[in-house]
Parts: sequence; structure tokens; C-alpha cells
Amino acid sequence: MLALASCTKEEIRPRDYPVVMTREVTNVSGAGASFKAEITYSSSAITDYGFIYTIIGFPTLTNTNATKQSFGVKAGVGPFDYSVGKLQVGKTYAMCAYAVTSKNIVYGRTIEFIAK
Amino acid sequence: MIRTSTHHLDLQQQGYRIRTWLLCFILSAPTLLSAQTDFRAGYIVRNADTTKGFVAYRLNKKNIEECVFKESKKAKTIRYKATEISGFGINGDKSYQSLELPKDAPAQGRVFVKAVVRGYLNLYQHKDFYLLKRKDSLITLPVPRNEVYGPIGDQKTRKDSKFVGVLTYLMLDCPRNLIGISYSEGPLSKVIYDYNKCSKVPTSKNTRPMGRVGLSLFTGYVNSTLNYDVKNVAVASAVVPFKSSTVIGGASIDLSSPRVFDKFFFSIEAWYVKNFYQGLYAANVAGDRVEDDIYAEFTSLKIPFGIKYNFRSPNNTPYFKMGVFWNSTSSSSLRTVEQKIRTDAIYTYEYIGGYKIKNPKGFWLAVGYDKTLFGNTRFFTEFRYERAEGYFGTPVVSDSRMFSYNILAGLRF
Repeated sequence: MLALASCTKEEIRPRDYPVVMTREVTNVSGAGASFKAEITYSSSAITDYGFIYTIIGFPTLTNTNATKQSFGVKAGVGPFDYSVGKLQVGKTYAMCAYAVTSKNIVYGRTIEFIAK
Repeated sequence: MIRTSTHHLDLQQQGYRIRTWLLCFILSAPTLLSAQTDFRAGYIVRNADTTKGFVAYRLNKKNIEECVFKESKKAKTIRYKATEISGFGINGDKSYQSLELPKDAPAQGRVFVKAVVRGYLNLYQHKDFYLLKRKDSLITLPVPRNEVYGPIGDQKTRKDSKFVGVLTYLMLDCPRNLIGISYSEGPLSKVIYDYNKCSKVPTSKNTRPMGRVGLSLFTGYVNSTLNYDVKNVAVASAVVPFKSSTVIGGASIDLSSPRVFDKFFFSIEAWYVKNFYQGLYAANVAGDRVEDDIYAEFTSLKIPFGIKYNFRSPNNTPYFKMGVFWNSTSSSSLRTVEQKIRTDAIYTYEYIGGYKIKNPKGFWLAVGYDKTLFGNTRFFTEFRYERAEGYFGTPVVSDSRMFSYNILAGLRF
């Protein structure tokens, strides 16, 4: 019998807001961590995007305790990452990627991690 | 996560029914169009003259009623009764002779009988009984009947063996071992063929095999749609239903009996299938719109089995196949990316799993074409439609339905 591969490329269905995927958090330590995310679909111009992380509450743009790492305007879709420095050891952080258009704010899934 | 309205479901089901019937019609169209007679090179014998031409290839029970003959492929079809010709045959295959049946035969009159063995002793078959002919004597080989034996109170039934007595008598000059011989074509033709060889008179019998096993290897492209429906749970719809396009590989075994009828096959197949479905489903839940991108991957071994009918000779022929299939799902993975659209923002969540997976089973219909490349090797191409319960559900309840269009190509040996 032949062993054959199938088409397994994930396709994003058209919609009127960007799709933001928070990918992973790596190299977590008190000295920092690496965040990875991707905007996989967008039908309108992205005026701002980046990461938000916090140890209090949810990582949203309205949370005044959260830290925002903005990359400004984004042309098209694609991956992005950020290396954050100096984390509080033993604290649980919540982080997510975000993207802003003229109509919507979109948050990727929230990933929690503990700085060790 | 996924919800659907019953109204939407009804409309969807109606759509499937229409599509299924339409497809059945399209698939059966070639069958109806090709339902013309399969004429093969052969001959008729009339007044001791042999006329070459083309004889309709049909089942034995049709052939003993009449001979359908054409002198050339474009000539007009002529139907002959046993009273009009003395015999007919298909080259390299069956031949029939017109005979006046003996008075003790289960049927009467002049009929066509199939020549099973020719030689010093000839064996013929008509319907379910056999006849033997030596020189000008035509003898009915008695059909075994139930007989009662044993003491009263402990009586049992068995088949009589009068035909063995007749055979023994006719073969006294070269006795054969007839112990345990059954009243069927295979054993009778073997013993009479051997007897004829012993008599030193040239003998012949149909050399086409009683059973033949064919092997096929194939690959194909499968386009599949999987519809998921959780009944009676709030609002929602498939914005984009689950779709999968994949390449498959497989093998099949075809069983046939060329001596009886070489156009009919029983086939059993094994497919390696790896489906990757993705779809977008939406629902309104507690004032929020929820949109789910669902990615589902299933690896399975599919076992389709069914029947195949060749419209023409085995070499180059369109064919029709149909049957049922059963899928054994060996592995599956499901991932849902959910966007909850609220007034302030859109929030993304991801889930793994969360669905009950079942082994789909369903039916299939196919049309195809076989073309001989060399020897017994044939190329085939086939279009197949499948309809089945989907991968979602339990062994008892199916929450999904699946239909697929398959294009297959391969080699038969």
C-alpha cells in the first residue's frame, strides 16, 4: 500500500477582523522570556500590534497594570516576536498578542507562565 | 462549541437528498447508456455450415433460450432458437449445441445445451441437469433426489446416486474413480475429460478458470465534505463546512468466475486515508457572536467492498461498481480556534479535542474504464461518489455526515 500525504495546510476563512495567534513563550527565567505570535489573516489595515503581559488581571489594552510592547503599523500578515527582560521570579504572568484595526481590537489566546 | 438550528438542519438534509439522487442519476447514466449487448467473436452452425460473426455474451440461462448473433459488428442482430440452428459458440469460451432432449429429461423439446466436455463421451448442461452423449445416444444423467433410508423409526434422508451408476456403466471400458463425486460441472467435467483421454479420442473442455483472483494497486484524489450537526442546541450554522482534499493509496482484490460469467466481480479494497478537514462555524451565545475555526485530522484504514460489472469484454471496458465501506480510524486530532466577538474586543481561545470520534461507514457508487496495457496488466481510472456517516459521533449516534468525490487511477494484474 502506498503511504501518501494529505493537504494539511491550515487555511483561514475570510472575515472582517484580523486573526491573531499567540504562538509560544520560551526561554522563561528571571532574566526574561521570548514571545512569539503571528497575524495569520487580515482584511483591513492594522494600525497597531504587539504583545501585552501582566501579573495582575487579564492582558488587555485597558488594563493599566499590564505592559504593552507595541510594534506600530503592520503591513500584511506574518509572524512577530519579542524578548522581554527582567521578570519577577515566582510570579505568574499572563501574556497575549494583539492587533488593532480601525474597527476592532483582537487579542490572541492568553498564555500563562511562571518566571523561575 | 458548535450549535445548529433544526431549521437549518432540515434545509441541509433536503439539499443532501437532492444532491445524492442527482449524483445517483449521473452515475447510473453510463450504465443505462452502455446497457447494450456485449458481442464477442464467435460462430453459429447451421446445416453443417459454420458462419463466423459475433455472438452476444450472456449468462448461461439466457444462452440456452436463444442465440443472439450478428454477422458483422454493424450488421442487424438475429435471434436464433434451437430449432433454427444446430449450435453456436464464443471463441475461446462457451459453446452450445441444439439437441432434442430425451423423454426422461426434466425438460422437453429441442433446446440449446452448453457443451461442457467434447470427445468420445460428451457432457452437456441444460439448466440444472446434465446429459451425456456417445455416438448417437443421448442419455440424461439423473438429477440426485432425496431418498429415505434406514429402519422404521430411525429413518434418514440422503441424495440418491443414480447418476454414478449411469457414469460407471458408460465408462466400463476405462473405469474412473467415482467415489464421492458430486453432481456439478467441475467434478463431472474432470472425470469425463479424463475418461476421454483414456479413450485416445481428442477431447476438449472449457479452459477458462472457474475462479480468478485479481489484484489492483491504485492511488487517487479525494475531495470530501464533512457536515457536523449537533441537534436541538441553540443557534448556529456552518459558515464554511468541513472540507478536505487528500491523496490516497490502496489495493484491492477482485474475485470473478470467468467460466461462468467474466463480467461480474466481487471486490474488497483497503485504502490508507489521511483526511484533514477545516471549517468555520458560528453561533450567537449569550449576546456574543462566537466563530470557531475547527481543524480536524483523521488517519484511517478504509475497507470498501462491493460488486463490479464490466459492460464489455474484460480487456477494454467501461464498468460500474457499487458497495459499502467501513472506516477504521486509527488516529485523530482536533483543534478549535475560537473568536469571541464582544462589544469591546475580539478574544481568541484555543481548544484541543472535545469531540467524540467514530468509525464512519457508508455506501459508494463508481463508474470507470479498464484498458489493457499488456498481457494481464490493465490500467483503470474511476470516478467514485461516497456517502457516509462522518467522523463525529458515537458508535450509536452519528452527529455528522460526509460525502466525497474520488478520482482513482491504478493498475490491475
